[in-house]
Amino acid sequence: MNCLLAREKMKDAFAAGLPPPQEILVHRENCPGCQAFYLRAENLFALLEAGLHGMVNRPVPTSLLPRVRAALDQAPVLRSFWVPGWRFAALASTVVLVVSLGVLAHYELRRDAVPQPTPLASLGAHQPATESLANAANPSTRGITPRNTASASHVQVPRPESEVIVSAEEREAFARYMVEQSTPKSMTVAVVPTAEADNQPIEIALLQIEDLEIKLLESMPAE
Amino acid sequence: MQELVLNPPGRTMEGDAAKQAERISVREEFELRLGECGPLAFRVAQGVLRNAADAEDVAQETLLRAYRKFHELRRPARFRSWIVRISFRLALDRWRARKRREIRETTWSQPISGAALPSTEEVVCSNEFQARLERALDELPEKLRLVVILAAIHGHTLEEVSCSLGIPMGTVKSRLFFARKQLAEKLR
Repeated sequence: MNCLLAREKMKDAFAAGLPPPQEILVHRENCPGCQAFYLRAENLFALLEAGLHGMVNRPVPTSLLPRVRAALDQAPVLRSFWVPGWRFAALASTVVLVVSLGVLAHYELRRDAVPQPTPLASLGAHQPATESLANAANPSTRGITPRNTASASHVQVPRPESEVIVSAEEREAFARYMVEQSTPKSMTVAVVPTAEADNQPIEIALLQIEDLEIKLLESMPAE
Repeated sequence: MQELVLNPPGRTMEGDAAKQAERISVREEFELRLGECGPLAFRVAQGVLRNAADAEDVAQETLLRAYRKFHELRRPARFRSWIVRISFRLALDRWRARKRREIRETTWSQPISGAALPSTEEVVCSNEFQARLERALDELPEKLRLVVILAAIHGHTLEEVSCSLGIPMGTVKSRLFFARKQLAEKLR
């Protein structure tokens, strides 16, 4: 038998607390090295057991139980807090309901916030007329879309300052335009080339509106 | 003159008496187990901490915790296992705190010369193995360490270890086998 294998089996036997198999004992008799290893391993495991026993089995202090009893006298016994099952069910259903309503309200608000086409006739006095008119009428201003132009289709909320959404590639040019322009924002519109003219340089121009007249469309009934 | 006693709403003398009776019954039931489980908690803590004073503190804390949560124990047969686990956990927490403190103090109060304390050959020889064994035990995984400690408790059979931990007998044997093997490898 291989000495390494024999020694491994010796260690296994000692670790398991069992006597070594017969074949190992036979090998040990014929191999002085393994015999020495066997004695060393036997001694090591005996020391190990003795050390562990000595470590754990120290005498229990006589003061332990009186100390514990004294502490128990002052310790309150907590009563089990039992809640009936229907209360859990009611609480859980309330939570689910509240969360559902919250999610529903959130989606409703988001749906309302999506810009919808505004009838030209609905442009009121509060709306910055030039900007909306230019956006609606001029196809070259497709890259610039007013935000929240008509959340409610016929109700115009006065805004202190008009907002313009500019796509990422047009942002720099628009910023330059905003720095350069000195007229009020409500009277100006940035005209930016559309996607088909990507290779051309961006042109920024002021839209000058001399005169503005708002008319009803023929198909729309007069209010 | 008539004496008036104010009782908070929902609290009656009968309720107080019932609570008192419940408390007494819990205490009696706990006392029955205290004599057996007190030393067990101490020995588990001693196996981890190797310090009698710390182990006593941990054993007391273990038994107090067990008493406070005694009503939550659904299976009384598991009481020993419960005590062993609480004690082992608390002892491990304290052992880790002690290690951290030792490291901190060693870092700050390291002597500049670094000279070792002189000791006689005999003292070194007798303590060296125990110190190495303690270090090796500290390095064992928690599962193996707990089994080794429980199996080393005097008069504690493997069946009792199995019952205490709520694990099968085969698992106890295999954990003990690997633990001893690892310890022997470290101590070789």
